[in-house]
Amino acid sequence: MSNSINLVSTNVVGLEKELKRLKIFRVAAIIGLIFVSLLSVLAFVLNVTLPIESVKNQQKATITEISVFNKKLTQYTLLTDRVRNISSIISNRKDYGLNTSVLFGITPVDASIDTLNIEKGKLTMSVSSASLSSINKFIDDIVALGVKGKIVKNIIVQELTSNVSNGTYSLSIEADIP
Amino acid sequence: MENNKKINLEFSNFLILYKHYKDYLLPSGIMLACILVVFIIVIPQFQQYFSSQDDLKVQVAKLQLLKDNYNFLANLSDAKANSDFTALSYALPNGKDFAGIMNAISYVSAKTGISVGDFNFSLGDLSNKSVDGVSAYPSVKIDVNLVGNSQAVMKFIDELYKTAPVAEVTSIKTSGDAGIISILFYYKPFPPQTIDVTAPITVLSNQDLSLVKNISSWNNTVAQSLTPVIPSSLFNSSVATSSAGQNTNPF
Repeated sequence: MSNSINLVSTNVVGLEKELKRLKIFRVAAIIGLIFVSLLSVLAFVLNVTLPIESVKNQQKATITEISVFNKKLTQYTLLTDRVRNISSIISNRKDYGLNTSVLFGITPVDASIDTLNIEKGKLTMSVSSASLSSINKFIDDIVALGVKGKIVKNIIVQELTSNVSNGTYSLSIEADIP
Repeated sequence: MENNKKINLEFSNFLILYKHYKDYLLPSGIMLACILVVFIIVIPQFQQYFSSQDDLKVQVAKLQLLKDNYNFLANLSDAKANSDFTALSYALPNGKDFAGIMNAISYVSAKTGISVGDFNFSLGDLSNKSVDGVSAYPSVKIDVNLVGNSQAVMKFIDELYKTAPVAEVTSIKTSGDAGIISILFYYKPFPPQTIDVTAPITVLSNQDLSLVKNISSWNNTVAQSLTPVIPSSLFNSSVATSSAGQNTNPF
């Protein structure tokens, strides 16, 4: 007797729990449904509102506008190409003007440059003068330049000759141009 | 018989379970559908959104570049661009500019008062590569006999370096009142190029502008009377290609 009463009581409690669990389950399902729906709508709206097409249309319009300046663009592109190339040539080409002007500058007034050859960074020159002291001064000056190494370097005095017939001294030197 | 009983038993179990849990079926189905929607639709949609945002940034940058190009070209002076291009084209011709070379030598000779003797042109390697000078550029080599001492020869060279077309003296030989110099006159064909409006326009730096100004002030012996040497074929379409190696020199 006692057992049957207890059995009925357990079923009622179990049923209530079951109903409660079912209710929670339903509420969770509805909340999930609403949440997912909102997320879907949000994702859709975000994707739709991105103005990629509008930007692409603006690009097309700008390209059309630029095409009016096609000649100018081509010319400017070629102009920059010329600038780049000329700049490269000028910065890489040899300019012996500074070197020779310095050499001319240290040549004494009573001395003259008889020969001057420059090729592939190699300088050979001969200087003549009636005065041996002028030749000596020239040697001193050019050696001083060689020490600095900016105008000439690796100076070799090839020969120093005396021409008795016309009373002049002649100096031949060889050097590298940096 | 035993088998039939077993089947009936399992079916009845299933029915009992169904009756017991049938209220859970709809919420379970909804939750399962929600999970599927999240994985199949929502997550890919958000991924697409983020990748579209990156794409949008790229497209906006591209649009800005196009607008910058447009503004630059709209503000570029036609006359200035023409005169600069003309000066630069004579300084570095598109092809072998024999007339320009002859004119330059004659002009420098007249300006410095140094007599010029025989010319000796050397067309050089067909590969268009310079051997002695700036090796990346094709050149025409010319040996010039000059009448003058060392100082006069150097004066000639100095003036030649300020005269178009751009030249480099590779060898100087003077003896007494005579000299021989070897000169390379450079040229460079227009690059075979596609003009791409979506590429950024390289704006000349101050150093470049200074170079242009300097070259514009060079002795130009032929430019004034002639039209610019830009090949007209380059203007025909937005995708323009120059004929590399082909001499479009107007001389």
